[in-house]
Amino acid sequence: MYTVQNGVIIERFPYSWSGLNQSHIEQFPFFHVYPGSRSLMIGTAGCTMDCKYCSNAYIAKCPVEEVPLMNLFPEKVVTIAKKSGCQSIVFAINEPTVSLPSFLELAATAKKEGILVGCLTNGYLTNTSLQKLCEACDFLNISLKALTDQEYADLTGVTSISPICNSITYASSVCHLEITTPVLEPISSEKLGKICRFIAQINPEIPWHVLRLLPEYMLKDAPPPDIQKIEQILHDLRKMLPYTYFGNYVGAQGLSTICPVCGNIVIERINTGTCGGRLIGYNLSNGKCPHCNTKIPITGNYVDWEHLENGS
Amino acid sequence: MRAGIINAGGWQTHVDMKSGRQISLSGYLPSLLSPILESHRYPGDRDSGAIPWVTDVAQEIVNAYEPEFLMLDYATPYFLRFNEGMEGNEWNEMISGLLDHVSGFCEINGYNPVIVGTGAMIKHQGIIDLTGLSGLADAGGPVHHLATIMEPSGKDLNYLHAHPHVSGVYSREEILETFQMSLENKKDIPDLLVIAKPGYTFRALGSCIRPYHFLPGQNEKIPISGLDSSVHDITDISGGVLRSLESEKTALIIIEGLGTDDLPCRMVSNSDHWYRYTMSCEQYLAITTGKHISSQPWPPGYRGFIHDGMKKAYPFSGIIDQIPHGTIGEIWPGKSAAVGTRSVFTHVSSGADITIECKVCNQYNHGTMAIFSEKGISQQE
Ligand code: SF4
Repeated sequence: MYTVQNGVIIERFPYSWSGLNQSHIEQFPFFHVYPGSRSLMIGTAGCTMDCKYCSNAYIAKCPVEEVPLMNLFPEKVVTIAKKSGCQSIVFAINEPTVSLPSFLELAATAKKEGILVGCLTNGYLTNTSLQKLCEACDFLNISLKALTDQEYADLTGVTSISPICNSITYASSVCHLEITTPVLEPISSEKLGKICRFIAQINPEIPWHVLRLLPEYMLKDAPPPDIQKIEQILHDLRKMLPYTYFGNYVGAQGLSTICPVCGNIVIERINTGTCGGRLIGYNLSNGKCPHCNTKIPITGNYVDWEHLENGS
Repeated sequence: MRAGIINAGGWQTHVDMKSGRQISLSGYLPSLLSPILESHRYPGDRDSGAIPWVTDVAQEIVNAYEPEFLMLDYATPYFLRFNEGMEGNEWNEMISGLLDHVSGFCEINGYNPVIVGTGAMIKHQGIIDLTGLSGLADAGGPVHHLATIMEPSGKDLNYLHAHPHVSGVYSREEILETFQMSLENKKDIPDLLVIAKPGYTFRALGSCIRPYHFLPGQNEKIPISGLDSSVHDITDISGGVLRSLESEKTALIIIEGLGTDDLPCRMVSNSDHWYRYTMSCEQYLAITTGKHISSQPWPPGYRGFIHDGMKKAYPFSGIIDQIPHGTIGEIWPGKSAAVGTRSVFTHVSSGADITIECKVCNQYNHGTMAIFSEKGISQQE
């Protein structure tokens, strides 16, 4: 959130965080980055979109003045991350570009201390913001909610999809990228197919998270999407985009990483009621499928959660 | 083996509750519970429709399974106060409607109702900022007036002791000595446990992001009705329920946020040494196992998050990593069932043969779940 002071654009609430929480990296979701590792989830308040279903509207869509914020300089946030055994800091509660200068400063401080940085973003970015965000982050998850201007306008209030497509294309070329597509009723196989093809032509190894939305905010009375129907559609699309995951519902079966060559499960995850997944099995050996030796595109190695505990 | 049926908006799957992996269940109990889950969608934590949801589901279970022991827990009043700030006439009407509702249910079905309130809630008054400490302050978890500190400095200690809204600062040694805990890893207990005065919460790592208005009042006494005068303490309740079961079917009804003003009846002590039970796993377990903190697996401030890795087993929820022993459902040799809106606490604390509970994470409504205990599964065979 910004204001103009003496002709200069400045942040209204610098270094003001709405929350700091320890989290499994899989929960954001990031499935192909340091599996098993611990992250410090942070966020501020506000957003550049107005998604009708927003699950975090109490932070993203209410007046920032009403959100109790914690004032912490980047050094302090990084100290908390280190003391709590976190390997990374991930901006995830709301849209990072509403607090870009603070986040960039935090990222720079974190990197100096050997802490990785990631974020979830809606991708509605100027070229300058996009470049800065990609430079600051080791990994990004960009939300791709639809593929037409009209759908974006109806769902999010922004009228052009081109900045989002541009963000995805650029980010995929410079850092680790995962993409999330929230699904609402009515479910369209055509729409999911188009999104899948768009991602596959950029890079078929990009992990794609299809989320069954639990609509909130303006759509809180909307019916939850039909799980079986989505799963049927994704079954075929996985041939095009092998690292396609389907989650955000408890008991989800489509969260494990399957070797695209031999079909064995190489990383096993379940959903226990969070947005992403929970790691329950890691079978890669040197980043390769133990059955057929196929290289699985994972950034970083498996991290044992309990070894991260600082001071124990 | 414990097993469960997950119902996410009509889609169902069966899971092994030890590993979380998908399994295939058959038999009488799954065929009984699957349609109940299907026809009773959970309205959500902050929806007053969750009150009749408990009783409606319980009615179906009673009709089909005829348990002698039934536990019903209603977390909705807590959420309506905590998140929505419900008070005054609206609160009084909701509570009297709920009490009428459970009385009617018990009368129709022939249960002796044992009603326990978890204690009154009071208005949120302020936040104690721990972000300036040099030690690692953590205010995560369901009890918002507790915080833990690791590696506190002398300056941190001075700040905490001098703070006008802090009511207690306890070292690991004091906690271990007071509760005679026999934990394998002493680091499971924080260096310091800090308790805020009633009405106050903490700002630190893990502190609650959702807006809130009321908090549990850290009550010395909680209300109870339906048991004889030998019950004086929260840990006497389970014995009282088991005695009642010897002569009649008994329903233990836990109503969160219900205080002594809401249910003018007998009061029982709600403390263990200096710790006042509050809506949490400790309070549920004190009620259902009759054991104080020293015999519970997770003392206040327990740092369960450090054990949250790939090896952690069932049910992957917060600090809970085992099924406690000595619950009423486990001890009672006859049939038992539970229905509740406090997610995993319902089956963990009831120990019932079969449980139906909501599946909610951070107030996101994922659906419902039916759980069968080992006893429940063996009884159907
Ligand atoms: S982009 Fe995310 S945070 Fe922003 S309104 Fe949409 S769902 Fe909410």
